[in-house]
Parts: sequence; structure tokens; C-alpha cells
Amino acid sequence: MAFDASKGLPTGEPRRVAVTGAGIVTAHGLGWEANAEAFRRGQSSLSTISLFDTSKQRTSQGGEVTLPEVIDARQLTGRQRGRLDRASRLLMHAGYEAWDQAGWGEAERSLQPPIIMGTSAGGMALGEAYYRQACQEDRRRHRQATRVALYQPQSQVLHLCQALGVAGPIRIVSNACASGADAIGHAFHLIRHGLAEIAMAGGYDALCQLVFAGFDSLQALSTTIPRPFDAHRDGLALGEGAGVVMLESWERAQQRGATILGEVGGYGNATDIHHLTQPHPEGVAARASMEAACAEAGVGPAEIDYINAHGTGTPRNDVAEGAAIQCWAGSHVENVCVSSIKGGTGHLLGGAGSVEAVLCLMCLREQWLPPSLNVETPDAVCTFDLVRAPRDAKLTHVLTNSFGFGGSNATLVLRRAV
Amino acid sequence: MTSTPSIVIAGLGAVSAAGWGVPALREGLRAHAPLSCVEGPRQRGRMRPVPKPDAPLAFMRHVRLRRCSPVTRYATAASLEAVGEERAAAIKEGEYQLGILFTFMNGCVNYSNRFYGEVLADPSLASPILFPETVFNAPASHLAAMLGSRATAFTLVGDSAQYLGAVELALSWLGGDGYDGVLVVGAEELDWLSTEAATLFQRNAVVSEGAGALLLEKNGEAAGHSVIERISPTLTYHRGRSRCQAMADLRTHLSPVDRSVCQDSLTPILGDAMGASLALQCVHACDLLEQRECQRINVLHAGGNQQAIGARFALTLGAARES
Repeated sequence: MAFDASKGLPTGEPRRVAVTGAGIVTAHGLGWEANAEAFRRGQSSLSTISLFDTSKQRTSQGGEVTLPEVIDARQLTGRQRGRLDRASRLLMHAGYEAWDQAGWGEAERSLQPPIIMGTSAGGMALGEAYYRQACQEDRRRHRQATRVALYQPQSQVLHLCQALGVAGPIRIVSNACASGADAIGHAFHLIRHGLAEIAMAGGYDALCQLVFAGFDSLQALSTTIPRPFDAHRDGLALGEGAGVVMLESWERAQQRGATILGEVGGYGNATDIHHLTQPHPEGVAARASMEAACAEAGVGPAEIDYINAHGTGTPRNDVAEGAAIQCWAGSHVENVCVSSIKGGTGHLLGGAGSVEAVLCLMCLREQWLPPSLNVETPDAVCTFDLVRAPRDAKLTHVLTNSFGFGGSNATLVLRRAV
Repeated sequence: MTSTPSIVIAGLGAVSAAGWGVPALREGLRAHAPLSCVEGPRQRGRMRPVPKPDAPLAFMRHVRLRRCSPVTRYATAASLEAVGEERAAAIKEGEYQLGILFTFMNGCVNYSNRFYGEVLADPSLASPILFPETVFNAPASHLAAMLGSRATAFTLVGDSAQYLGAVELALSWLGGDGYDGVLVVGAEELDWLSTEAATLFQRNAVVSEGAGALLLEKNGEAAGHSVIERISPTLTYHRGRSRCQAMADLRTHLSPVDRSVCQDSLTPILGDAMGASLALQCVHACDLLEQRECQRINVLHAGGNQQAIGARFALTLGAARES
């Protein structure tokens, strides 16, 4: 990417964008198969968090990932591999899977693809360690420089690039819980508008104490079980993980005979300026975001077969999102299938949008719907078809919502590859 | 396949160790003398903080800004200066679609440190008021709310070179029809942790803070404004490309012109403003053009651990903007 005024800004016919690789890591496991099986079964993988002390919090449950001891180093040096933090490892597992599935190699490396990743906390656990040592043993500087360098979000993405031998420009989006979806949307637009031929995009976040305590301080964490769209929901569970997709122009993907997992059809976003942490009760920006994504994809509510809701399970989010869906769908609302996967994996924050985009690709390819777990009494806002048990379905277009702190609202529309 | 509208710098804003506003930055840099610095809070490291404003900041009366972090104050002041009153009114009325791009290196560190300190002391008493202010995109959200802008607001994080990456993204936004203008803000705030952290890499580091803002508009008739002529490719530090090598490569992408603004042009005077440093370089470069001190100017920047990037700005014919 670069800009030259004499050449101007790209215009002309937008291009189709194919997804040719996808990688996913959640508490359900590592990789497409493990996750698809768990989503399709309606499994919950929440457990007691072991990464930090939660004894003084109101809850200790979360979607913690079981990571293997050893990670494939690929092009990393031994020293680099020894320094990998948890967030880097999550991202690398997803990145490797996506890269391998796309079958990218030297030809793609030579294109220096843009790497667009979303995160809300980066390597925060290292920042916490730096702070603790600085406060408690302020004369000891051992490993402090390393912590400072590696807690910054660019470090995790640089690790992935180094491991894969990719040297393209890196952009890190931090729009809270919409980060992953915004990263994919941004990469999609680069290709759609001719600014790049291929791109790697996604999002990640690892569980850390500061963020966990933060959500608990807001009383946003469920002290029972997370149950998005249930009338008696009492909050969310936090999770961790990563989702990565490989995007390329449709023409290029076809020319090289790549397996096309799906198509990104549209991306929309809008800013909710109602409050820093609370959505507008009628979901005005959420609706604007959905409308923009559908307009770009050239579809309306009648063509959307499934909505993967942001569906955190907090009282305010679900009612605002439900209101937005009602308003957006109009007379079609009863026919729109909706569910949230956060009851089973927890809320992955900066990784949520990208993991849920990968989930949507699974749904499109394998023609099933994941359920919203633990719903006993659907909220009154659920005038849509709330999916409460796994089911098979015929899907052509699916829509995924991601809404974040600060009013960042993002929507992606994905299309079955035909 | 392409159109060739001029990308105009329609407004500039700055808050720096030299003071509040672009004129303060201009005067501070013209003096060519390092501004005074102070010791870090724990007598480790040195810093050049933003001075207190001469008068209370009117925008702080906005309900969303009541508790905001210093970095939001700096960013808001710089943004309002860049946007100007007329456009600000149009944004509120929904007559001007403004995209916002915010870049950081460290983020809202004061509130993050304070909140995490409370968590370590007793998480059950950690403040729910502080936590949302620690999130990277809180300042962009406050800025959007204060301006009444419902269009896209993105926050990008990375090393200090990220700012021109954001400018490049702004250009792609302006390539569509959705925006009348895009505000690109780079900002940072000081705290004891980042002051001390800087000394881990450079013993005599003097860190600073502030914000720089450029308002970009697509304008076929660009007379009297500075325009972006070129942005170099982003040179990521990887596969044997060191920071020095990246800077050398950068110069091959931007042919020599009348003048260059490098980190060394500002840092000895202002200190290293971290995530705001490249934004302040760009503001300074555009200000030099508008003050008719040169016709073309290169901005070159090597970030700490991610990338190097540069841009060339030029003055178009016509009267300079009234200041």
C-alpha cells in the first residue's frame, strides 16, 4: 500500500472478495474441525479460569483455551519462540491454520499482503507483569524492557508475520469488541476497491486480569451462566481466542484454483454516541451498521438467512440489538434466524468479530446453525426466530454483528461460495 | 480505474510541550532550543509535559469529557482546531460526514495504571468509572460524541509510525462517497510508567505528550492549501530490514525536495511524544508550507519496533489559510 497523488484514488467497479483460508482458536479447541463440531453440538466450554487469581471477583468462569506446550516455530528463531506470550500463541495457531488452508506460499509473500488485525488488549498480561515488578521491586529491571516491547499489540502481529515470512504493512485496529470484524471489513475494502490483491485479517485477545476485573467492576459478568437473549440473563463470560481469514480477489482465487470457503459481500459500521459503554436502547447505530453492510452486499432482510448476533448476554446489549434487528428486518423479522455463540465460548472481545466470521463460514459451508445456549425464557425482544438448539439449515447469506465499547458497531455479510 | 482529486489538508491542530495550538508549536520549534524538562515522578527518566492551558478548556463542559483522560483532552483540542467552528456545527447538524481515525502507541495509560493498581489492591473495589476509560478507543468515542459524529471512528495502535498508516487509510475512505472529510489524530499522554520504560531503551530519553491532527478533504480546487503528494510504502522491520535500513529505503521512495521534517527536527526540542510524534511532524510540515517557508516537504519517520514510513506534502498556489 502506498499513495501517489498523480495516480489518484482507485475508483471503478468493486471487485468480489473470496475467503480462501480460515483459522480459529476458542475454548472449544484449536482449528476448524474441533470448533465446528462443538458449535454444531451446542457445547459449552466455559471453565474456571486458571491464568490469574479470580478469588476476589464475583465469578471465576471464562472461556480459557488449552494451548499445547509447544508451538511450531516455522521461521521464528529459537529466541523469538521463547518470548511468545499467550496472545501471540493464540494468534499464531489461527494464523497458521488460515495460511495453510489458503495454500499461500512464495507467490503470496512476494505480494507483501497487508496484515490487518484487531485486538482490544494486545499483550496486556505482559503489561501487567511490567507494572507489578515496577511497583513491587522498583529497582529490578530484569526483563522489563522485553515486557515493554512485547506487550504492545504490534508484537503479536509481528511474531505471526515473522513466523510466516510475510513482510507486508501491518494495521492493528482497536475498536474494542468490534475490532476483529472491523479488521476483516477494512481488509475486504482494500481488495474490493483495488488497493490490494490479497490480505490477511482477523482478531485475537487473551484473557488477562485487568480486563476481567474491569468487566466485573461494571457488573457485566454473569454470576450464574451466560444466556444471551434469555429474559433472565445477567451478563457475559469472558473468553479468549483468535480468528484469521485469508482474503483475495475472486478472480485471483479462481485463477489459482483455490478452495473458496465463502465470499465477503458487505461491511458496514457506525458509531453509537449514546454512551461510552451502553448502546442506544433502540440500537440506532447497530441498525445503521447492518443496513450499510447489506447495502454493500446488495441484499435485504429477506435474503439474510441467519444473523450471528453480537449477543453478549448483558441486559442492555441484547435488548438494543434485538430492537435493531426488529427494525431492520421489518415484516421479515419472524423469518430471520438469530443466535449468539457467546454462551459457549465466552466473549472474545477483540477476537470475537473474526472468530464469529469464521463460524459464519462454517455455517455457510456445512449448512447448519449454532444455538444460543442456556435460554429458558426468550426475552420479549426476540420476535425473530431465536435458534435454541442446533439445526440444519439452507444458508446463502449470513450476517454477523460486532458491537463494542465506545459505540463501535460493525457488521459483515458473508455469502456462500457459488 | 482511478480519479485524481487533490487530497487537501483542510485543517491542522496541535497540542504539544510547546503549548496549545499550532502557533505555539510553530513558535516553540522556531526557537530551536530544547524546552525545559522535569524529572519523572520517581526520579527516573525525564519528561516534557504539555503545559497547563492559559484558560479553562470550554469543551470540557461536555458531559462525555468530564472524566476523560489527558490524552482525550489533547486530542479534542487539536481536533477542534483542525475542524474549525463552521465544520463542527455542520457535523452536529448531520450536514458534514466526518470519519475519525485515532492512533496511539500506549493509549490511556494513566487510567490503566490507576485501575490496575486498584485491581491489585482489591478487585472487588476497583472502580467501574475508571475501567471504560482504559480502553484504547475511548478517546475516539469521546471525540465522536463531542462532535456529534455518527460516521466511522477507528482507533489504530502500533508504534509511532502508525500515524501515516492512518492517513493512508483516510485516503481510501475519501476514495468513496461516504465522507466529506476525515480527521486523523495521533495522541499520547505521559505517565510514570512510560517515562521509566523509555529509559530502558535509551538512558537519556526525554519523553513527551500531546496530539496532532490533520483534517483531510477531497477537493478538486486545492489552491491555498497543502496537499498530500505521496505516501511511501510501509517498510516493516522484518527479514533483515533494520530501522536504519528502513530509513535508508524510505529515502528512495521520496525524492529529495526543499526540506525534510525528521524525528530529529522535533524531538530535541519537544521530547519524544511517542504516538503523537509523527502527527506533530506532519502538522509542523504542513504549517511550514502554509507559512510559505517552502513549496514541498518530506516527512520521514522510523517507529520504534514496527515500521518506517514517509510522506511528501506540497503547497498549491493561492493564498495561505487565515490563521
